[in-house]
Amino acid sequence: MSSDELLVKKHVKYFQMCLNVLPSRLQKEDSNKLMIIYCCIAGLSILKYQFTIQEKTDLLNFIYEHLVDTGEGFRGSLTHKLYTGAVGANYDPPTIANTYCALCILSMIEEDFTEKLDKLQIMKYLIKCQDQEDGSIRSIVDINDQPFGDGDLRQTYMALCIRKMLNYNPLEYQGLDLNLSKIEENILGQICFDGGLGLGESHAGYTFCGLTSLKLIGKLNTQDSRWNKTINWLIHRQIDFNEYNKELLNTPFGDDIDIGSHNGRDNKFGDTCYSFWCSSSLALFDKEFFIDGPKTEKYLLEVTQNNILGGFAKSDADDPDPYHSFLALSALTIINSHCKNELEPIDPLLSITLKASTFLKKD
Amino acid sequence: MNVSKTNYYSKENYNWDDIEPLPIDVEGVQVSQILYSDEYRQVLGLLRALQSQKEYSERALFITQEAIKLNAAHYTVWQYRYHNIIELGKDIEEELEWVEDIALDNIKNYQIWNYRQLLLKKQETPNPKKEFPLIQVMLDDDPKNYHVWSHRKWLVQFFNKYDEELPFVDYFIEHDVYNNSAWSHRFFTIFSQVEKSGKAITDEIFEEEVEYTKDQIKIAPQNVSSWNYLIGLYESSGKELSNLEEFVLTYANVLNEGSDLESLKSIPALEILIKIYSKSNKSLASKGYDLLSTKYDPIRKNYWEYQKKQITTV
Repeated sequence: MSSDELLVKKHVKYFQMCLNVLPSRLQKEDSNKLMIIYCCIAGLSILKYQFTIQEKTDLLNFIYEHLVDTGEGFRGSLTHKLYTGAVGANYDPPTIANTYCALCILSMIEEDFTEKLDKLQIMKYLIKCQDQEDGSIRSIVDINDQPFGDGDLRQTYMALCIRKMLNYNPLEYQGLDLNLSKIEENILGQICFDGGLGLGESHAGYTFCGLTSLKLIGKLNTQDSRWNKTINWLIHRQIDFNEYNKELLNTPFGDDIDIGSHNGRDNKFGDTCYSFWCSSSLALFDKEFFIDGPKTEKYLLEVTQNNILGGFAKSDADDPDPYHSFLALSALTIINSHCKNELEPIDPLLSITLKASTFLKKD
Repeated sequence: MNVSKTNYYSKENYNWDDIEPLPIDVEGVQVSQILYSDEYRQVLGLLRALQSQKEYSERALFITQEAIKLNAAHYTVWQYRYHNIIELGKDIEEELEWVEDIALDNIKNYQIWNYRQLLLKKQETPNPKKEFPLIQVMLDDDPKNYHVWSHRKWLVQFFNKYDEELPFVDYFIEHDVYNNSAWSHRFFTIFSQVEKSGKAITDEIFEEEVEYTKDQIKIAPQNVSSWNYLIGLYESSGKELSNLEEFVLTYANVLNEGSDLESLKSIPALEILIKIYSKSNKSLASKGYDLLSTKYDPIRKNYWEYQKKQITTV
């Protein structure tokens, strides 16, 4: 069943299928539907798929329908839309995640959203989402305009990406901005004893979000020796079993099919997505070459690439999904892989194609 | 499509006659259209109608339950449920019990823990007594569940209650010495209290922890979690790693050639040894990096070669 080649055509078909119809078991993902669409559009963009004008128009119309009436950002699904002007309209807020995904999608189909979106409104919303006490960013504001919901580094990262993608310059708005020094403090407070970042336990996803967030606010000094331990922790995410540590194969997380893959925490199984979170984190330091690229590529192509449906799965035991498919391809554009030249490179800072982030920079 | 409002919910004796459910299907081209079940269509239709009119009632509370069961990741339903609980003057204890069942069915969900924390803060006299058994059940089932460990950390800090943490962590490490979540929680338990007071941990606690960790390393010499913890103890207490040389040498050395399988019992130990040598004996450190990149840990060859260059050029 395994193939050592990147099945470009199959992956294109897989993403197209997901952009068309999704099975009802995915209704539990309904609230973050824009996330699914983002993964598909990003995946297709990496595969250098050319969207037709019709496809772009349909997408644009559909995405803009998710913009909430106040213009503060995007809702996750049209099934969350309430009656316009209703007394309870505040129960239909934008979310940080879906606003981030909407901007990513628009930028990858090269839509100039600066005309249609109110930069200041969106920025004001992000500011309301910030917890003034600990500096974290929450996923939404509640009906009383207070920060609400989970406030881990994923939210911080996405909020700062939105700020960047909007080309927001506080000087144009009397200095109005997120409290960046609180954000920095919050991130640095999450560096764990082993060098990774997380809520007590180092986690590759949070490490990526923390490092990129620092970079987005100009506070990641890559020459600072404090990061040596973080880099050391990141490079140890790549899994290997050999003659000298083979007793680890008898542990609950031992499986030699995982060789070359990355895990998100110490002593865990490998998982497709961490090849991206780790390689892109290392890329911030120009150290992605530390990774054994050919071994990662082998794992992704031979173990989690699906030869029948296309797409990539989380591990050898799962079905493909848009999220892992997109992140597998993203990882392949960063590490030293054979198929790198066939792919559109990813910008590891914003997690969109480099082409899209270049497009955003054009004024 | 017309949304029926009777099928599923008439059985609960709530009257919906005055409610016009919002339709789930919208006009225009759809992208990633989910084939929603009839149940989902009905529940979401009613939920949105009730949210729109900001209704706080028994039937609204009921609908939030149904919506959460179908889509626990819904980002406003938890808030809406909370407002219903408060407005209707519901018993917070009972609500905590209700969330318990939902948590057990949605072990990877983020919102649930945030919601529990909201409820705990709302209690007249906040009481964590229900939390610890729930955490125990969930971790017995999934011992590395990130959200559950984070919730535990939040509880300990919120209630400033650290006394049960070490026995709790011991239980999980005894069960699986490779459980990195448990080791991380141990570090938090030992250090967060002193951090707050701005002091270092006492020599007595330091020695106890070092002995404990060394015993765990004896059981599983290749376990990176216990080695990381040991290094963390030393670094966070400002102690020199070189004090560990003798211990580390029982698991790895860079001198013995020929009988590597005998001399190397632990790759993490070898890495620490090289770290110690990089300050005291650069030629041994450099030889150690060669051993890692060519023999013991070739997957990180590029990294080890780079590290070797760093110590030889400085």
